[in-house]
Amino acid sequence: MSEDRGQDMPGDERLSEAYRDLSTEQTSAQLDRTILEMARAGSPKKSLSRLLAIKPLAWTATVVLTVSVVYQLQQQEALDTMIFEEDVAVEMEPAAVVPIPEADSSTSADMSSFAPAAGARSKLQEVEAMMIEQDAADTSLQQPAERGLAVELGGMQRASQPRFCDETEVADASSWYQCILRLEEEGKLDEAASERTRLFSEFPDFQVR
Amino acid sequence: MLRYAQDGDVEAFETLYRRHKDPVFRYLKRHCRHTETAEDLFQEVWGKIIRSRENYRPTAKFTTFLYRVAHNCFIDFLRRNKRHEGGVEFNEQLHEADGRSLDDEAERNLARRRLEKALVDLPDEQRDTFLLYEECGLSLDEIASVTESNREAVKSRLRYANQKLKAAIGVKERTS
Repeated sequence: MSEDRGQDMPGDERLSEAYRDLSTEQTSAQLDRTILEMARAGSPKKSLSRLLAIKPLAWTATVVLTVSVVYQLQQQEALDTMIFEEDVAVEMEPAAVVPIPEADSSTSADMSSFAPAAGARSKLQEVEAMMIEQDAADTSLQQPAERGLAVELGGMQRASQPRFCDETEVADASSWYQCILRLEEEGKLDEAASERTRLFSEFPDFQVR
Repeated sequence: MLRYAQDGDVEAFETLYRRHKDPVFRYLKRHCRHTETAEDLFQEVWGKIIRSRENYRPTAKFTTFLYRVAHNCFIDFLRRNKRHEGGVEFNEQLHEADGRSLDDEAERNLARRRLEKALVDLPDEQRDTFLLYEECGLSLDEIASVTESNREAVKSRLRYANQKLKAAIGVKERTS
């Protein structure tokens, strides 16, 4: 009740009493339940309990999605890398310094399993296993190739030097020496010195009589 | 109400509801005169209160807010039910009730019936003002706010309503 009620309307006590006597109705229990259920159903959804229930679900979903996306990207990246390496190997094959048929055939056979047509082998474990095998094959093949390359380079160096004695003369130390003497007699002292150096490098035990 | 609006505190709402439910129900029942209709309006009122929780701002007393909603619901009900304005249908029911009870009930009950009938016969605005004053406990200023009218108009309606009701129950006007 407000303060101006009695002051504004004096002399109505009997009327008020009569009305209060009349005014006895109450809401039914069923109606009360209905309203309170409405209030519960319509209560704000930002209470702490609801947030605690919803946030973990959201975080879990985010983490699961992130992990699955990263895993898919890693898988795809590994597969792409293997396909690229296969292409590079195929392109490099004709330019190999030392031809190694056994290694090439096995490598090609192995690498053919990584072709995009064989997409069924998309499992990461298989890809990793094939990568290891390829690395091992490359390593074993590279060492003999390097050795062969060194021999070849030695021959090329020798071949690049000017020759003043023919092949029949250099086949034997004494005939090679006779060639050197002939060059000296002809006044070709530098050429004779070069052939002498080569003679003693090839036949270090040769003794001039 | 603020606790319910901000934190979803249903217990706070229940406390508020139990404090105001019966006056609101009687206010509506006195207006529409049928229990079932009053219950429908009652649900409508509290449904609006619940739905308005997110926009609720404690700028005025909750009581004023509540009865403004109840008043507007009753006005809408009047517009939907034109026949209610004459009140003829209910008066017949009331007379039948009077016929059954006149012989058996005491003088007090007779006064109650007369008051009830006088309330029914009041113009809607006067009855509304009287109910907001007596049943709901609002001040003249609060009634003016609820009914969107000025204080003097409210005072005048209340005075007329009081005169008619007192005459109906046999209370003589005081002479100043």
